[in-house]
Amino acid sequence: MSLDYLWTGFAVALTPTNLLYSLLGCFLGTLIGALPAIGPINGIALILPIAYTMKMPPESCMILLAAIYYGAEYGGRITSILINVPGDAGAVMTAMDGFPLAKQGRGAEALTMSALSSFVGGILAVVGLTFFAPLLGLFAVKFGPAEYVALMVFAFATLASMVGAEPVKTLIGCLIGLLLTTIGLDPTSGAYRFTFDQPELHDGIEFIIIVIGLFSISEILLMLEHKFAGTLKPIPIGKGFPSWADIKACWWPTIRSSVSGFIIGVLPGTGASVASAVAYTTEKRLLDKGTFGKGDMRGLAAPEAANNAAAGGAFVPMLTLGVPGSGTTAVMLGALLLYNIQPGPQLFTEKPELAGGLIASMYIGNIMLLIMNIPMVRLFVKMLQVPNTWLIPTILLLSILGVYTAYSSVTSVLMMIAIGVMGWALRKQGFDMAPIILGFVLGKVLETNLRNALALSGGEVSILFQSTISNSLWVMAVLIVILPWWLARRSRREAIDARDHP
Amino acid sequence: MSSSPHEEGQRNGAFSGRVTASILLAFAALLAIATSRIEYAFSSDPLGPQAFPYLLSIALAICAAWYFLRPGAADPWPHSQMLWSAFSLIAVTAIAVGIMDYVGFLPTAFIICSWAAYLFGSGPAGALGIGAVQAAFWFALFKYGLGTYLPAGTLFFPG
Repeated sequence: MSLDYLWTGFAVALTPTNLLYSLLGCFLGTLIGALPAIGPINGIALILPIAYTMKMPPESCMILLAAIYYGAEYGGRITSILINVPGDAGAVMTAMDGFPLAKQGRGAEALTMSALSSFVGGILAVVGLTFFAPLLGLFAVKFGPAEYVALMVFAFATLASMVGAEPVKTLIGCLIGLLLTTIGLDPTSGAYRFTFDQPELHDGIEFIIIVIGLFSISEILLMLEHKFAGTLKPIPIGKGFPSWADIKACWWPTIRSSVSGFIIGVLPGTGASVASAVAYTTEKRLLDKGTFGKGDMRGLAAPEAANNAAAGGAFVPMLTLGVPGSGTTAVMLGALLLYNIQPGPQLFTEKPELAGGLIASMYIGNIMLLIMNIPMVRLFVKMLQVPNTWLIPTILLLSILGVYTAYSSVTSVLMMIAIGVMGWALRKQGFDMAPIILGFVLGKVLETNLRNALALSGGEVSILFQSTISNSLWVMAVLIVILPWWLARRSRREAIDARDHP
Repeated sequence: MSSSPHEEGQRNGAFSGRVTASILLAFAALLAIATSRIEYAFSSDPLGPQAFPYLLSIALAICAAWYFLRPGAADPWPHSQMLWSAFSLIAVTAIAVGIMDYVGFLPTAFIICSWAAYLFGSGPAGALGIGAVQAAFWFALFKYGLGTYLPAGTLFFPG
């Protein structure tokens, strides 16, 4: 494909007005991402009518909206790392190692590292978008229900990495996550499952309610416990920049997660939460020596790179096929249609200023975000020095606001509180929250696609093994379970041999 | 002779783990019963809406039974004063949220923040001040800055 559209795009994106829109979008996006549950989708929905009313040209509007989108992916990590309240769905996995790092007084390092890995993920996704967009668009179309089932099984196979000393707790956590997905209207049969005639449960329990409950509310209760035990100490800020050894250790996990995040982002209906969950569990499976979940930089860099790459990947089906890759790109697709622009492969030739301008602005925006975020780390991290008498009410109120502003429902907030208490009780029992989140993120996609696949084949299970894509994913799923176990066994045997035959 | 923290964790884990396992077992049974009561006219797929929940309830029951037999370690449960504080924080928050549509966001936020600040060590006057400032700041930011809907309260603004 000729890259002429990209040069046209840079000419459009580098005009002072569009640079300003890009900067404004990055700033607003970071702010929106940092506030729990506001998220990019709400931010874009809020700005779109204003932009349209202002008669903003379509390319400027898309540049602004896209900047809000990837700015929010950057911003989501701030509260996730510092106070264990994920700013958006994609930042949930960031809290797994980000918050322990902050508690160790490495919050500033964690923020810098996450900004760097977000940048790498974001840039690699734009490179992928530039060179492979039409090709990947066709790849995404080949993903039918059977391929999605194989993808979800692969994602669950990565869960094997989370099986620690007490595998039963991991399994129970995952089952709880899966069970939560079954609540609400079953789209295939139209049956209501476990709604108990409560209209608030008809649409199921929203992801953000679960995330804020499990992370934020349970964390507040644990902090209250520490306060009574006299172990709640002020957290030191630490130095601002991660060590060279940390950067080197995070390099390959960041690259791998960017690639996997981008590919997952391309697939409609998956998104940043699945991408970051898969990246985290894959890296844990490959690299963990008992440090993941306790403050390992690699466990922070991987999901951050993946969720930013997924945000970029979600543009591929939107621009090339007119199929949104995520909820946010669905709103952006609406913005294009508002301007009477039909996305598709011809967009790159018929509207090079728009497709090219958008992609070029993403290169510029990612650089802007990095420049904007690194110096602001010292400012963000000051959050940790706010006294608990101010910080805890803020976390509690932001959690309530996050859910209430998203769903305008008191019942949703009460559900969030109940889930938080459940999370606290489970954490006291030594349960990890990650399997619950993973079960919830993947459960719905797995069940819906499994049933759709079987409906298509008239109940023939063989449909799950008929395409090259699904077979490759099945093989990868088996390998990701067996390979680390086999390698560990081999190295143990070699160690014994070396000891017995020096 | 006093026991080591590890032994204490094991003992705590054994008791509270079995309590949790029993709750999970009961939950698995209730889930299976609730699944059998799912009503649907037809399903376009061979599995139907009941298969997945049935599968999950069986898996949960097996895992819960396993957990009951080998409960593992757990953190000690907090003493009664802490439990009372946690309960009060949850209860005050839930009640304040429950009446939010009636009294409005500002009083709700004030109550929640004041009580949380008090529990985390602020004096009564300081806690009330923190509650007032937090409620006003977040209300202004969300309502006027971000333009999101926050209830004014039917008590003060009927209709």
